[in-house]
Amino acid sequence: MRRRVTGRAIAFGALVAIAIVGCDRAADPDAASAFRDRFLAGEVEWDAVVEQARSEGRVEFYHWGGSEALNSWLELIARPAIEAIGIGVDFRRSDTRDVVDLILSEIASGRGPGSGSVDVVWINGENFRTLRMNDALFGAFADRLPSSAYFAFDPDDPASSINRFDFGTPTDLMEMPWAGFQFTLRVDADRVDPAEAPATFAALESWVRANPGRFTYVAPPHYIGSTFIHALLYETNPDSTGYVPFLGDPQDLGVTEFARLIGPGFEYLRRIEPYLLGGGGRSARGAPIYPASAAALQARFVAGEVDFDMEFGVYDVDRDIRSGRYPPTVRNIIFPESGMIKDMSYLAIPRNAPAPAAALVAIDALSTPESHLSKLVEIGFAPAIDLARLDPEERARFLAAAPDLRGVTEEALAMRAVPSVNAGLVDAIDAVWLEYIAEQSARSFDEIVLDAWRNLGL
Amino acid sequence: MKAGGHRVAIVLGLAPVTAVLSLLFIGPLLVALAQSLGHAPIYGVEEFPTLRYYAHVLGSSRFRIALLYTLYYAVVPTIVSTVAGVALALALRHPIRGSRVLVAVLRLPVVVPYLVGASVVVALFANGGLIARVLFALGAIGSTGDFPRVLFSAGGWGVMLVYLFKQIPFTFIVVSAALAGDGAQYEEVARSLGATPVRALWHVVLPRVVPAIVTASLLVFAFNFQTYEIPYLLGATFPNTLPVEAMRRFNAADLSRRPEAMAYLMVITAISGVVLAAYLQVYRRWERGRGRS
Repeated sequence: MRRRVTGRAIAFGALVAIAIVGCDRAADPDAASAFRDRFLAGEVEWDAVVEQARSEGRVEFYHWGGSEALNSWLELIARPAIEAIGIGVDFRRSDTRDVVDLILSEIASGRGPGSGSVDVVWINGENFRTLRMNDALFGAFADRLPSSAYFAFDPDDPASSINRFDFGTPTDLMEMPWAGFQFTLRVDADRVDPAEAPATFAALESWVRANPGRFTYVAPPHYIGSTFIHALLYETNPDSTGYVPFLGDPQDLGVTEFARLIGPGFEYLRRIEPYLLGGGGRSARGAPIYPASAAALQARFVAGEVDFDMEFGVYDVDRDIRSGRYPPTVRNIIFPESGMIKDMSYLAIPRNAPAPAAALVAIDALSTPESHLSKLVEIGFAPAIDLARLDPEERARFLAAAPDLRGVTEEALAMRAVPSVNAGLVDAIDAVWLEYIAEQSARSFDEIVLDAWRNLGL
Repeated sequence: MKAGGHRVAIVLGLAPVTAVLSLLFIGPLLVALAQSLGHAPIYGVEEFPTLRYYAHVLGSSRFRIALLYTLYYAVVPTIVSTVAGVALALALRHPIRGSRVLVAVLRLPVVVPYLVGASVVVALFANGGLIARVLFALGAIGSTGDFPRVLFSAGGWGVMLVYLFKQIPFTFIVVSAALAGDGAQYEEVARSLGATPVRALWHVVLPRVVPAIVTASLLVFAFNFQTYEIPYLLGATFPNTLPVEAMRRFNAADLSRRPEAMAYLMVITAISGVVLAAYLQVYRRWERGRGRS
């Protein structure tokens, strides 16, 4: 997952320390490469994979550790499921970017197949793209597991598109879909009637003008703020083609076209600035407050300073109400109607995984319908398996088990699901925001965009 | 021969510390330097040696603005905490009624982490915070939004409050320790020889603790100049400090921007080093002027 936390340097130091300590169990690199080639060619029976996994003994599972709910689920549900097969597992909490750094630095220092320190990593977006561009992934394994039967990968199947493209980067079966997350805005029904809450960015603008100081969004480059802006750019796309032009590779798009596409969205962001939290209404009293993280925005929302919260994950409203983090009156709203960004997160195996067979077996164990059902019920992570591939009885269990969507319906969300922007554009959009909005730069918009674009390949 | 053996013993004795310092401090610094000069093959950058990352950083207006704010957030709390910490230490150097309790309370923030200090400041001074809510409940302000903005603004009051919360007690402790050390009796000698309290303070007590004051303020400035979390959490989105700008680049999705982040880090290290060296130079000149060295 592309989550970002502070204290990264310390975390990276800790990772390097773990990696140094973990050095002793480096396997024979030739044997590891040979296993990889034979497995990817379909020459290894699954029983033999399980047997090798047991002889490898342990799997090093790295994941973003910022969700307490997930951390508990991994320890209480995932650990016994993996250990039941006869392999051990270490769950390592870390920032995903640090794990990517670790993998790349290991490969750069000559620790190739079989001699790295990461077996499985929870990942998506730019982090996946980085590993993929650096040829640091195990290979196309996702359709070779027993659980693969429950996932849509066939390009002819419309349900497969969310599995085949990760922020515009083709996944090519190099990562296993694990949990889907849709971006939603939330209101407290005690303060804003969900039925009258804005459903488009245009309506949101009228709302903030009528209620100055009661709205703000997370500052990019935090991914929550970036996603809010991507959704805006889809709606204000001057060609009314929504997300379509934002999916392709930056090189094919070109900077002039990019500037033209995002121009109206950034004008919108400048227009609403005086009406945001701390923006001072019509008399510009000061720069608006853009909370630095999703947690900071949630704190202001709960404290009653602003009337909207935003996050990835349609079920976490229910989870947070049950845990007491939200008051019971909080509701998801459909916003924007034009398209609510949904993306998938995955489990991937690095090329230099020390226990590749154990990694495959562990990912398989976490990709069964039971595992996805448990993740849905216990912590509200939307399943990545294709419900159409389940028998009717199992499907009914999934539908019955889904937590309360608190104000929206599955159909309404599914109907409006749109993909994330191409991972290669994220930095450029963030950079334009920082200069054009946060910095209030006096330079022309086109100059700013050109600079942000050049820095992509700096 | 004997002197040679002695030297070997010193080198051996220092070896553990030197090894740790080289591994954890000098090593990464050299890696950062190499990356800032364009040697970062893991990120697909290999143009060593190039100064273009430095040119890019130093030529940007954002860098100059961030530098000004970094100096502002570093210097103001350093001056305030030094003055306040020294004043407290002087005021409490002789036991008075209740001073034991006061000293205990003053020591407390030193063991509290900076991030906890940040949470305290947010809980108290945010617009939805305790003070704003109390004022609102009392009818002093029309809504919590009318509470003046302490946090998340370019003024940096929130950032500096956290620094002061930790650094006034820190300066106090360092200076108090120096006051309690050898030579506490000189003040009484001066007084018994007829010096007024002010003259004794100025000519006898203060000069004795100047080294402690210099040490404390050096540490405080170095921390304030290079810290990342506090300005990131409590500062404005823009403008903010150099470490925040560096971290932004370090965290960019495109790893080939890392050399630019490293150039930022090297510049931060260099500026902070130059400022500290200049300060020490001034202090040494002062010491020499007093006939010490």
